[in-house]
Amino acid sequence: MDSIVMVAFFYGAFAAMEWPFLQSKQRGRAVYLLLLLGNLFVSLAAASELQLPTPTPWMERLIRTLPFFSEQVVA
Amino acid sequence: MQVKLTQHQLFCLLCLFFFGGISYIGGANEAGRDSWLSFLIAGVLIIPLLFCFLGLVKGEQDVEAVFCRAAGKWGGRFLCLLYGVLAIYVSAVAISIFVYFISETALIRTPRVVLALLMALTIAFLLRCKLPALGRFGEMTFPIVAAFVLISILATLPQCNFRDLLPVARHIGELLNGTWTSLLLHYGECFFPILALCTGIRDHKERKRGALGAVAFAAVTLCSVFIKNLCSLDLYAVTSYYFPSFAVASSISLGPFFQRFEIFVAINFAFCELCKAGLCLLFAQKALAPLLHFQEKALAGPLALTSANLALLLFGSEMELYTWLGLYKYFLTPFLVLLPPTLLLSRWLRDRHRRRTAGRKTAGT
Repeated sequence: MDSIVMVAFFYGAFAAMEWPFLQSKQRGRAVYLLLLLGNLFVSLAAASELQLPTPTPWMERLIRTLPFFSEQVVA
Repeated sequence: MQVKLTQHQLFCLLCLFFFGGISYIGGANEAGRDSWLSFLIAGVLIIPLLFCFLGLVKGEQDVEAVFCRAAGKWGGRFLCLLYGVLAIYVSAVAISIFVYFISETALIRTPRVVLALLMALTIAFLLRCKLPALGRFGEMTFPIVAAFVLISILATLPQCNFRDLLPVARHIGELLNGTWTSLLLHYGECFFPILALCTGIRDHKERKRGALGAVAFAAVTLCSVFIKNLCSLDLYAVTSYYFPSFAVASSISLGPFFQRFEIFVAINFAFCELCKAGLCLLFAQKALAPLLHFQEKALAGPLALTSANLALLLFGSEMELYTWLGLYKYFLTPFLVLLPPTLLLSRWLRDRHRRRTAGRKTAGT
């Protein structure tokens, strides 16, 4: 619960920082809001310790399938 | 063109960026006992690549123009997108290392998401500043970081056993592999800050002097730090730590006033990681803003948040992080070692073609 409150605080700070831009009629406000909401979702998921899919295992597997790199010893 | 950064500010920011990579390999890279030597060799090997990065930025005032001159309008835009996304990823890895370092050493019970968002907020403020403010931040921070590094090296000297450095360069293959790691993870990533910062300096000689000075200074300092860690802890102990500089600092005492010197190492680390992640995102900001038709300032918040959230998503534990860092150099090689020289060659060919066409037109009239 503490983490979720902290996430809310940080996103509040971000929104306050960008308030003039969000209030203005400049181009890109919708994209900005979309990015903010997408990030908020991921942050809340991380705060609730939900496991979201990550690209790292895929990238790791891809590199290891390459013939030269499959032999490399990784710490 | 308005001068936004001085040579000294470029030097300071690049040094902080290079120091930010200090914990990418834990105690030692593949070279083992010769890790310190691999830093020196990599410091020499980066110089041709550095000239290549500087050659790309010569005469250009913004990041999009750098890529468009080398690869044409659409190719340049595609490269802007590619390198912009890569810069966000590199920054996310730096934030991830910072978050794990802090949550392992200092703030054990603090949720990682809070640390990542704190970093993101600081980076967002940094990105909203213009280049002169960023330069002043570098100028103020660099002496503090350099002083703490120097004190930690000098204070560790009495407990160093320099016999641990021997034998030198026994396994050449491992040394070369370690050099490659150092080249990519510690120096090669300077592609991003060089492109982002050098567009703010008018004189190309100043750019060269600042960048070369930073590489020389970073190579000597990183080498000294790894010698200090190795001689203080021995190879077997140093490789068992993820953050050996912190372990070494906790073993030294500077009298009753500075009882916990490791706090200064943590502060240093926080500054350097902030600079590393921030400068990568500065590049991403400059590369992506024209593509998305955004003002650079407005892109600061979303970029910092995306990077922090990616840092939370990428790795489930330190083990996963360090396993990936073992493969990270292979991932970075095409983008930082193969593509930039190709782009420089392409730029040269395109410039030559343009000059010849202009010459023919002049001769025709």
